[in-house]
Amino acid sequence: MSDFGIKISQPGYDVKTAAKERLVFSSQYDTFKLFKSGSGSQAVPASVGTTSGKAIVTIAHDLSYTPAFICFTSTPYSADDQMSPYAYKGVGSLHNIAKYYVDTSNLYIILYNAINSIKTFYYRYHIYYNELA
Amino acid sequence: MSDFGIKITKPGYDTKTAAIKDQVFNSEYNSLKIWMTGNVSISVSEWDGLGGGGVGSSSVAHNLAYEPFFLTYFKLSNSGKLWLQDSLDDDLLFNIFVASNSYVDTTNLVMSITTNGNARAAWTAYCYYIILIDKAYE
Repeated sequence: MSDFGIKISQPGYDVKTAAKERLVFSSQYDTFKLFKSGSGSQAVPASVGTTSGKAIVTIAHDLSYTPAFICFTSTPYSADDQMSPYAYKGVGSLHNIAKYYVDTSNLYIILYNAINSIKTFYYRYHIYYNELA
Repeated sequence: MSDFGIKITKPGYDTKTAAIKDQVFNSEYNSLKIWMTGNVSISVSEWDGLGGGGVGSSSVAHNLAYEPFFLTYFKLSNSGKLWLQDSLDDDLLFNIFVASNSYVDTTNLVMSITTNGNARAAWTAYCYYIILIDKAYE
């Protein structure tokens, strides 16, 4: 017999009949398992002409595979602006603010400053054990 | 009696007193549940230099009948770098502008590449996706 596990339903829903989207948890479905979180700040050089200043933050994960991740960064315009997991990216080099990628060793946060003075960016990241495969 | 459930704390915390942020799991609060994971290839058409081409998309049916929360990561051919959605690097990509985008509807997750720049032969990108059971919005 293989039909066993744990299900927990949201308040007001019968765990025996609730739709899967009304469950708080079900052992039938994988979840995100947090490997590493962190935050920091990074000074990004001023832009020169039509070229943004650029800085790269490298965070080692040593998982030996490409893990799922989410990042948040501020913008050069306001330290209070925390962008969504999705980076702002327009057409043209001066419109990039942040880009993120992962390989089998590190998470990279690439920050761009389109303002002609040095700016400090604030970032936060979450790396999960879940493999992108 | 309705005060029951499951709590699991991080190492070093007492499960009877730990704050929610120090709990690994608490049955009082919803957790994100993964429905599907995988990857697709995206064939990007040849840029014709006249405003056409340079685009491609792929879809994955999720069969949830509502719009689910999702995450997508894009990869160029022969690269080991996976870029978070909207974040695909254009510094290394043929010196052209490139945008990677994704959206869901009640049937599919749609992943696309759009370019705008120098003439370029057709090429392939890949998208790795995680579709969650949890709704993008109620």
